[in-house]
Amino acid sequence: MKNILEVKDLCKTYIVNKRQNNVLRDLSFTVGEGEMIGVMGPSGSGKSTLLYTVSGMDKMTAGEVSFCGKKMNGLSENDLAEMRLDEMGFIFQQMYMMKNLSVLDNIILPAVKSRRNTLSRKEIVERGRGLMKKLGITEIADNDINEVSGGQLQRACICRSMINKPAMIFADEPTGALNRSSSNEVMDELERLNSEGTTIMLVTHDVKVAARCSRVIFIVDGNIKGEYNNKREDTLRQRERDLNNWLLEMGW
Amino acid sequence: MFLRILKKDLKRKKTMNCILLIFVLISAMFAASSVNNIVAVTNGIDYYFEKAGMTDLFIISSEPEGQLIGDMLAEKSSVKSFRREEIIRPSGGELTANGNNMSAELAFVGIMAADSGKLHYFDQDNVEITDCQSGKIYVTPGFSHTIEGGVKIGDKINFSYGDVTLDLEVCGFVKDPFLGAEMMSNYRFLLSHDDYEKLRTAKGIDSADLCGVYYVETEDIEGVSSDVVSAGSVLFCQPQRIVRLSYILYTLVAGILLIASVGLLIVSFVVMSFAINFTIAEDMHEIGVMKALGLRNSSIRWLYLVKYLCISLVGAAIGFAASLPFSRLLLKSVSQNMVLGNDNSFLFGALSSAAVVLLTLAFCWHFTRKIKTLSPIDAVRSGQTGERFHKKSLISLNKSPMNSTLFMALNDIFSSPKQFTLLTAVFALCAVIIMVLANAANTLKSDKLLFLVGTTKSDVYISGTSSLFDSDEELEQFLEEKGIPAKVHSEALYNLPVVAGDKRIGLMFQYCSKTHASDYVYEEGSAPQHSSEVALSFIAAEELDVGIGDKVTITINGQDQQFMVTALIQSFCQLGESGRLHESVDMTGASLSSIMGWQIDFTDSPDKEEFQRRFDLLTEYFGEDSVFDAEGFVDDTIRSADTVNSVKSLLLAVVLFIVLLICVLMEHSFISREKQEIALMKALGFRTSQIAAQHTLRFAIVGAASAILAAVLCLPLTKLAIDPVFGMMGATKGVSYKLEPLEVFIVYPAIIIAAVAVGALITSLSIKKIKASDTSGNE
Repeated sequence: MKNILEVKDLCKTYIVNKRQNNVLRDLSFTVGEGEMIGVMGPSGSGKSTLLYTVSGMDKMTAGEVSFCGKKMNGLSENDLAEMRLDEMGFIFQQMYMMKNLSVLDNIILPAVKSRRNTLSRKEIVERGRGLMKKLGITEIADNDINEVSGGQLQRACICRSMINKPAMIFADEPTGALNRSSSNEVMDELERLNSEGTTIMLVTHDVKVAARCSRVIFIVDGNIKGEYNNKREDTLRQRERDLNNWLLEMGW
Repeated sequence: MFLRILKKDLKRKKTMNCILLIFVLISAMFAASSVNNIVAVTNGIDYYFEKAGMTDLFIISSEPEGQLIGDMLAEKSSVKSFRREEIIRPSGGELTANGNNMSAELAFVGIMAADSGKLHYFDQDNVEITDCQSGKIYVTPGFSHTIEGGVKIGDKINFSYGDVTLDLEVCGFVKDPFLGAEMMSNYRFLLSHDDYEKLRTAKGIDSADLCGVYYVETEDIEGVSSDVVSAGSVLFCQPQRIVRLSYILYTLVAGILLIASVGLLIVSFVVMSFAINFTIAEDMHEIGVMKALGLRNSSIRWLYLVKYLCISLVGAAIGFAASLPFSRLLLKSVSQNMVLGNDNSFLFGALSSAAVVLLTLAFCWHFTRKIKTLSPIDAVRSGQTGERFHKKSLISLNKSPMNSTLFMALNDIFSSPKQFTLLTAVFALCAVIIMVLANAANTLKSDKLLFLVGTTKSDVYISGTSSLFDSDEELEQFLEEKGIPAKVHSEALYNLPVVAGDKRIGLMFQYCSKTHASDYVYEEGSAPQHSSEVALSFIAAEELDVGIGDKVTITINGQDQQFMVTALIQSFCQLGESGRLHESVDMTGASLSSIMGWQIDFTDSPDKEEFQRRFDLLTEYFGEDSVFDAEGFVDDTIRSADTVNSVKSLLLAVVLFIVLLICVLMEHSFISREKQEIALMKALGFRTSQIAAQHTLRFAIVGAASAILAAVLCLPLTKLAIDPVFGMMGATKGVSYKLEPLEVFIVYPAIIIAAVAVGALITSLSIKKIKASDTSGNE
């Protein structure tokens, strides 16, 4: 399996009130193509920072990150922006969207902006509607974002992350603000996407969410304390149980 | 606890608090300076005349046989008091300024010793001039305008008369309350006592050059005037009313300034209310947290009131301090010849600043009303109740062919129509101020006002060189010798008494025997057809209480003649107190007041090149300050276009500063509010430059919309604002304005749009500091 993301000796340090805060310390791991990797850890362990740093949304202090074989260290802000637009998708816990745009407009916005995209506006809209149909939210296309439920909105965010057919989706606690039923629906969709070949890296606190991933890395104080491979052949309940046990061993 | 929350808030929300502070500051600055200007301008002439010690009646008399007028005034019981100044009005000599020969201007110069003034004369800093050093000279600003490039302090003025030569250095410009208005066309030179005495005793000076200027306090103005005039040797005898009228052009400029000040005041208050509303809306989340923690509504509002009180007190204090020089800067352009100001400027400024503080608190109280109605959780959701509170955007990306930057910019505007409409209105107001001034200035030097100065359109106008030729025919002869076939005529002005019923007034009549009365413009009625018909101005007809068809008696050369009023006209002549006589009226022997200048009409219809050659030839002969086309003649006659233009330039600078400031502050506010969305866009892969372009574009669109709005409103507002001012000058029925499309509809709107775009662009560059990872972060 080819690696889509390679992280080597990644460090991230914040200076707060002249005090150095090492959030990520010499962290190394890889993500293979088609993998669905979960990142877990206690609050403040550096999970979200890891996600933002490896996706080029935040600058790393030291180390090396390669995405699709391209080293991100030397890339300019603009190159990183282009990479995020064309090759990455993002899903946030708070379902951030442009509040003055309708749901469909939010979904198609990255495609309209993309320079790589050669589709006409009509084709982009068709693709957006197609994604919405796949995720079962066609009826909210013209709604304002404050007119829809959290679950629907997060599915719309998934559509947006998929609009440019990214190589990898980064999700920061995608179910964190949803109830159990919505959470399950969203995770079903992510799993389906992954099964179709999309690589996913998600940060979560939820064992039920992490149990759906093929692999889980556990971070404590900016270091990877352990890695766990879910047994895909097991039932979901069994996976949850095993993962829970492993996390308890890790000090969860 | 309360104070700690406040302190923390002031420190933590530095950006928004600073923005609010700046808005309060500019509001206080504009309020204090505008109120000061409004008071200064409204009371302008009263204030100046009182400060200068102006009297009821003004007399200038040549006194070859001693102080006859003085003796007469001393004997009259109706004269409460009078003061006499001695001036020299040289009948010859040579005058040079910076090497330019200005001897032709000597006819308009009055020279006096600075220490012998019987009025209060002021320098440009409004300090009274009581003396002048030997070898120095004060001149009126009007004299400076007669020389190309003007006269500056330190320049040399050389004056020779008889056996005396004075090399003088200009040490300042004097505000002369009596003769200082440019409409008076007189210049006052103030010298040291010693220099004046040298000149007074010069061999060439005779008693006819010495004049007495009398400042008379009396209630019987008409009685004293008629007695004085009958004594002869009187060059000028007019009541204060007429002297006041000579300042009417400054009133025009001051009036424009007043309108601009009111505009600035509106702009600042509108923007301040927006800033307060905005900052309180920003704080809604925290208000919710406080409510959730159990703080009472009144406590939360009190917290905000105290916070805004602190900010507004600091802002108002700084704004008040800044208003003092700003007010002076605005008044400077119109106060070259007048002492404009008010003795209570400190008080008015302080009161205006206090009003800004109260208004800030009132806005704060108004905008925190919402706190009462929102539940804690609604407030925690930043004022969102969960119900749909947004109006759907009018445009949709999935249906629009626009590129994303343009779409996002337009969508932002349509999504916050109130804010952007407000901005459009503010920028439009700023643009309109400049457009109105441009229209006024362009009209003041256009041939559209030719009829108001009482002339017909001619090829060339020559003014101020009447000493070169004795008659129109002589000039015609001269032109013929130069190979220029032309007809020459000139408009004569006669000051004649007119009676209608029990009303009796003196009117300035325009008359030209070589044109036809029907060549001129009449607002109502028809042109006089016979020698017994006359046209009167609206103002004169009103004063005489007559209309078309009524009869008036005019005394010409001592004989009463009856005339029928056949038409009503508008005229700037004598500020509208004028009329026009038919060309067949016999004016032989009538006392001529003045001649307006020669008008030359080429009889052979020369082509453009030949026309220019003749114009250049005449310019070479008569001097470029004396030869004009129709536009130049109007400009030279009214002499206010330059002043209005300089006010326009000053206000353009002020307006651009305001527009820039508003853009910077508003864009900063928007960035602060939209931080999360900007971060999201970056996370999604938008470049900083693309987001900055979107932000700049929405301001540019607003700037363009405001330019269109201003263009639409430009003419009606010009009429609304400037018609009354022209009305004061005599054009009571309004005028047709000259629009320079390129300047008014292209150049100024482009400047405003550029200022808006530059302000927004510079500020939007701070988007660079927002990181994609801030998507999840709060302030």
